[in-house]
Amino acid sequence: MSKNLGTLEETVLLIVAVIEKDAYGYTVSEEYFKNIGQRISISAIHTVLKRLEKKGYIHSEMGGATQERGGRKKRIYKVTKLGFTTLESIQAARMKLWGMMPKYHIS
Amino acid sequence: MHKPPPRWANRFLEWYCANHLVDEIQGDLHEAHFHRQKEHGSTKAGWWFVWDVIRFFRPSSFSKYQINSNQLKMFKDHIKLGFRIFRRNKIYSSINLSGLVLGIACCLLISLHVIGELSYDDFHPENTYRVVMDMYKKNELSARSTPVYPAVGISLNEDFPEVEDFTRILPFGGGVYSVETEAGQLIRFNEDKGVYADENFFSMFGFDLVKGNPEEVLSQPDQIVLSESAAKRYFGDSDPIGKNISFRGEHTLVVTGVMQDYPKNSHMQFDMITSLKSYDNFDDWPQNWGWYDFYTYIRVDRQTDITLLSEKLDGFLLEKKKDINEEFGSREHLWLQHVPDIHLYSEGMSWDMGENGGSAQVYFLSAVAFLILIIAWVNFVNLSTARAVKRSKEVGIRKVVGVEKKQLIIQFLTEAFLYNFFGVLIAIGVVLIAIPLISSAIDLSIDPYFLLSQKILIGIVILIVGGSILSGLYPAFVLTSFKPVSVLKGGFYSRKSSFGFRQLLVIFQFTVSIILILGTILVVKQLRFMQNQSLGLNVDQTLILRGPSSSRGDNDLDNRQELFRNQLEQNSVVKGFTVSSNIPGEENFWISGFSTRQSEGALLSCYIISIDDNFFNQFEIDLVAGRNLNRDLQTDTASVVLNKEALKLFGFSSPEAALGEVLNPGRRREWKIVGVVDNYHQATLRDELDPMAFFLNWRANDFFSIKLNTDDYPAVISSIEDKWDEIYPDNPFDFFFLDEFFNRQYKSDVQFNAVFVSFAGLAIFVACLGLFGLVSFTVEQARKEIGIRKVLGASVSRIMLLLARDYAKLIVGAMIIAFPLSFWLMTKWLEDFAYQTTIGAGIFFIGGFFVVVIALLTVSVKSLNVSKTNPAVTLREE
Repeated sequence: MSKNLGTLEETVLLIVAVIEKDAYGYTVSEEYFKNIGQRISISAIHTVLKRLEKKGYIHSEMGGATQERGGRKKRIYKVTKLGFTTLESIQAARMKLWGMMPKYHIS
Repeated sequence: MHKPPPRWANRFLEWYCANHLVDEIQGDLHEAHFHRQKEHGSTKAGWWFVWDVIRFFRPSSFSKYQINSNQLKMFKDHIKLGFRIFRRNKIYSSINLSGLVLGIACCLLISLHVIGELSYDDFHPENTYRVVMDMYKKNELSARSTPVYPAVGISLNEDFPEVEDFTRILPFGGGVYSVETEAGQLIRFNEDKGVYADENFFSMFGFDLVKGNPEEVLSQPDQIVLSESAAKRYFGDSDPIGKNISFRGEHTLVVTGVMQDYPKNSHMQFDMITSLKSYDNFDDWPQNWGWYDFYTYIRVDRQTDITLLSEKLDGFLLEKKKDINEEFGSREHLWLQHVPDIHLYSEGMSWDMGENGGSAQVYFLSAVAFLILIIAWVNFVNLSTARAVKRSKEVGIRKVVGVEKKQLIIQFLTEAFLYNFFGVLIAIGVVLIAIPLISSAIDLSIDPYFLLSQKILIGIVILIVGGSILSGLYPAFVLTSFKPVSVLKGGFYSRKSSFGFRQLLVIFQFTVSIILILGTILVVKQLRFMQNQSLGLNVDQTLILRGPSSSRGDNDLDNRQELFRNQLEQNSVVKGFTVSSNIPGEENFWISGFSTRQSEGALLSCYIISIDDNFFNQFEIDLVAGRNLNRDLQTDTASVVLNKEALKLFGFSSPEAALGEVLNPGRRREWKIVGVVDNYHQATLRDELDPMAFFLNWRANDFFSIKLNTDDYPAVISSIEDKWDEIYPDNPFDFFFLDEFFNRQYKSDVQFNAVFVSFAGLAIFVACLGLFGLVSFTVEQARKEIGIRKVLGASVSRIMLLLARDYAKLIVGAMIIAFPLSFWLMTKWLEDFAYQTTIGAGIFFIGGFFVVVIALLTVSVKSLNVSKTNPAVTLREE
């Protein structure tokens, strides 16, 4: 499997990193909506999370259950070291490119 | 309140979801549903949940197991083929599909309505019953009363150990309620959903309190519980608990609780409940066996044998009221109504709360929906078998190649399944679009949320599976029965096929359509008949004001009424003013027993209306004998005017004979009969005329009737309102027009009419679709025959006639069956009305003509097309 990150994958990875403590399907999808402004179905989020985990960018463990969840446990995700370095390298590459942007394109 | 997500969807999720994934998937969806419900409401959240569950329905969520790929492939093949065949002949396929969609949509719509009706009062404790009574006078059933005596609840509770608890509701809490704000402004409304109730009201029923303790909110005098919307009306967003609210000006009540607004599917609809102890001169009335205004509910022990209890109740009052019954020649029987049954099965009950009793309509609608669905399926069968001819070659070749019959049948069933499946899907879409249209057009309540209910979903599954089998089986057998040799050789079809199953189906379809069309005409005719009948009084141009009930002292309302009357009389467009305790079109709760010389002591029930001396004059009610009540005569406070129906009741031979007689001779209050008036219709023409007694009492100011002579209603009304506000600042100005008010009673008839018309339209449309499909195929097959006939010199019209004749026979056959059947049904339906229109031959003539024209038009559209074709074109093909 390729280790490349798609846009959606990258965004979700970022969100998991941002939420830090309580990142699971529902919170990630809400956070996505809040920051990106588009609705994305929970099933799609699950797919992406599973894929990121397979690629080794995040790892998961089962968390506590709550009343709202009908007593079901959460699968809580955390970003791995590999995940962080990848995010950083992407960001660095971006910054470098931004630095090379001709000034008159930036308002 | 948090509603759980639709249960079936949840179960479906649990079923397909692999065990190790259930926690995260279901948990996330539940949590999302929980939050969405707060933000978007439960309906939307419900749909969203279902959508998410469907989105998760994918291989990655399943537990792993093997599927036989060969069978799967065959099935895929069938489906692919089904789609191809659909596309190959778009017109016929769409006709086929749209017929199904219409039928299913119709069926779904009605099911939604019916489920709504059935869901009434399903939120109360299970073993709660309403105690009602049948009242007999001289061995004749005089009324089936929903309210009973105040002592009934008390003594049932004492005498029967199985009765755990009882509560009584007294429906006299209507009138003006007002609250003075801190700024000194008076907020006032006329409330008609106000009642008094015993203190255990909230423990008896499943109504929830938002604020207040259910045990205490009605336990003391002068306590009142408001519904949320009523609380908002008077107190805005501030907390109403502990605040004062005035009832009819003089009575100050303290708000002790706020209850949730009552759901639509409750037969009780209250906005204000006052503790029964607040009622004037309250003394619990443990011995009162004469005043039947109390709706009484009991809760019985879980183990109670209801039939046994009912038997005991049947004779209960005979024992308790022995003396009174013997004296007045009456008897009464108590019986029980299970609370969830009240809404549908209270047909013919008097003085009920709200509009109850629609079981007949529900059964009728279900039957019609089912019929339309059957018509749609019949269509499908018809069209599919008609197509048999076209597909016979396909079947022949398949058979030659070695396909088994069983597989062919599965293939055709799969096609039927596809049609039904997509038919249902599209029908659901149609229903969702149609619901808002229907609710706005005829005010029929249909709740789309029920689409998610288990009942409907099970119904849909049955619909798809059962429909596929019902509609697919016959075509499948017909199509697979062809012998390859004869089919492949060709020349297997002739136009003059024998009288077969298909013809029978067409006759069936048209029979149903004709019955529905005739029914429609009759319903319209009856409605028009009722609305055009003379009511016996004039309700035109009459403005009604709800009388003031908030007073400042003993004679205050009388004085102010005089003032208001004088003010109005100065207005030139006001032609008359009268006050009365009731108006036509308003149910009369005031009924009392009277005796006469002829009745030999028996008390006969007669409706009572209090009026002033202008009442008969203003409503143009004819005086038949004697004189009008006269305000200036002191003695007329002990006089009464009867209507003709009351004469009959009391046994007077003629109007003149009644004059000078007295009601209640020898009893405490005697009434001298001074006049007799003609009957007028207090209610619709669905009901019989009521016996009525009119008493002079201008204090009975429940309704002010103002006769106007103007075209500029808004201006007049606003000038009257100004006067009102001057004189009655503590009472709200509530007005309506009497003619509209009276006609509102026909609302359910108008609804019924609209439903009937649309059903009849649908049925005939679907039947014509079927006919069109059938004709197309026949004509298609007979092209060669027509070509030859034309070559030999037949004219276009002759050929058309030839083709039409085959179908005319079927229509005539349908009429022969439908006419007597519908005559019988129509007679049955009319029996419900006290005043009936005649059925008449006209209905059959118009209905029959209509059906023939439509059917022949359908036939000729296609046949004209074919008979005009140049024979050279058809004969060249070979």
